[in-house]
Amino acid sequence: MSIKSTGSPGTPSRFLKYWHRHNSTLLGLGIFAFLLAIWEASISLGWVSKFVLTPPSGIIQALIKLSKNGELMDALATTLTILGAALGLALVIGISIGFLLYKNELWGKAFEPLLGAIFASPLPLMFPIFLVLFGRTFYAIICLATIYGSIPIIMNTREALLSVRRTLIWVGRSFRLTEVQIFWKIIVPAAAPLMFSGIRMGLIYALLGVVAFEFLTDLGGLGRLLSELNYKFKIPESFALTASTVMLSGFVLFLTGWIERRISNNR
Amino acid sequence: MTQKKANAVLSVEQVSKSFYVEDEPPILALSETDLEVQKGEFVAVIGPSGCGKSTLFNIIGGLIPSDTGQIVVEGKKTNGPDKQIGMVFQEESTFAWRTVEENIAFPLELAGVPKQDRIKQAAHFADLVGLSGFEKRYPAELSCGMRQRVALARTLALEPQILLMDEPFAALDEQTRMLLGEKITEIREALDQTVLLITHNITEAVQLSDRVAIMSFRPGVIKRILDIDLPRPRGPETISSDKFGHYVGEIWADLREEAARGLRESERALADEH
Repeated sequence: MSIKSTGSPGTPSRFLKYWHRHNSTLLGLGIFAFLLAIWEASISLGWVSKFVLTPPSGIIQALIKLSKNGELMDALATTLTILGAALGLALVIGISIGFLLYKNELWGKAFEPLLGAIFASPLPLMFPIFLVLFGRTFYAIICLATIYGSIPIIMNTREALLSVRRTLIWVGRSFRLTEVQIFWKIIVPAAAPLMFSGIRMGLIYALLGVVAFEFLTDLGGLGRLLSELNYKFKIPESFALTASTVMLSGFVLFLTGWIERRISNNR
Repeated sequence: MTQKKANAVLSVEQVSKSFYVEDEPPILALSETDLEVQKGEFVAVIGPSGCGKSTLFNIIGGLIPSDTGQIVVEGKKTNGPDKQIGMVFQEESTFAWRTVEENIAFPLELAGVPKQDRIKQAAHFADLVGLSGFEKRYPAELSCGMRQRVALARTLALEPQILLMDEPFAALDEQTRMLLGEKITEIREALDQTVLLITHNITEAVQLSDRVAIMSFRPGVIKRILDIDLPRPRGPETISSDKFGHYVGEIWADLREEAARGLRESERALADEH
């Protein structure tokens, strides 16, 4: 009889190595799968009525149905277009204002509490003002989502630029760099991770804003489709669309997290 | 005060600097300070905390202007950072977003050196500071002492005539500090550089220097310059010798009074605050 060794003593097996590298991801997936199984079982065993809660298998079927008739893709395309426009504007506005508030200390200090207050306030309540200004159009949604997304970008851009250590700037001066070179070659890369955290938050807030205002205005996109499905009491489809929105948020989070890790690169 | 010598590569001439704080009288950090450093010399400037050592470092490096006096490098008055002076800072100053190689090559990149040459030169300077094999690592993957060596190699890549260092080993433990001190001495000999080291560590000053300039507490002036007549290389035998101990004692005798005055003043300032 021969016994196959999985590795010399003290050398972890391939499985163990894989587990140590990805244990948090694997554990997260395991918990997610467990919760789905409980959810599915609670309905199939009759603990919860299927008229109240759609099981995951039903959600998948509804998702396939929505995808096949093109409704989901159309709504997704609309939401992503509005999100792209809002995020683009939020980036330009957020980074520019953040930079100006960094350059002007007095204005920066004056605006800091104001921005914090706006960030903490329930912005969707301001929606009627935007409806009056822009009418019931996509511009109203873009405008409000832009404000929603740009505030964390402004705050983090200023904070990130201010947090660059003076010694790094002095290194640049000792190498006789111009102020412009110091800004682009030292300040911006040093501030990039914190700035990117702001951009990431801005993206998430803009997405929340876009879907919420689509829901309120009933104009188009994932929010409008969800509003319509809710109105028609199409429970499985409503769950499927909510799941799609969660997946979209998850994908956006993953993508921005991946870019952030690439930027932070071993810091 | 020093006597003027013809072949001084660096001269600090009558430099004064005051700092102004709102609603308070100006603080005179440096008062008509003079210092001359000869070519190839290793000079340490030592003084108690708050004596203006770092202010002197920043003025010599051209990072802040002096109120009066001037800095002369090779006979020419400087105006801002001078290309003959390379600076190594006390605080961590590596670029976290660049690898060791990219950090060292940074000044070469600015000078427009082609990429292949940059990599070659970066490897040379990494080797000089004992970081061969770590070129592709990021600063976060290195120890504090290794990061200081990256900063040193980056400054050396500019090939400055004068190396200006502000307590570069302050954050390191005693053993690493002594080993890096030996490394600095080797590099200086290899590159035939002039070194001005700002420090508050008496042993370090005696271990490394040809001369030690002792500063008084605020306002900072060079109180005395002591020639260190010890053979090089200064290994454990030299460091444990009576002569080494005598120099340490002599400097401490000069510094003690200044350090005590500094301590009294900082305690008084703290009491006034409350």
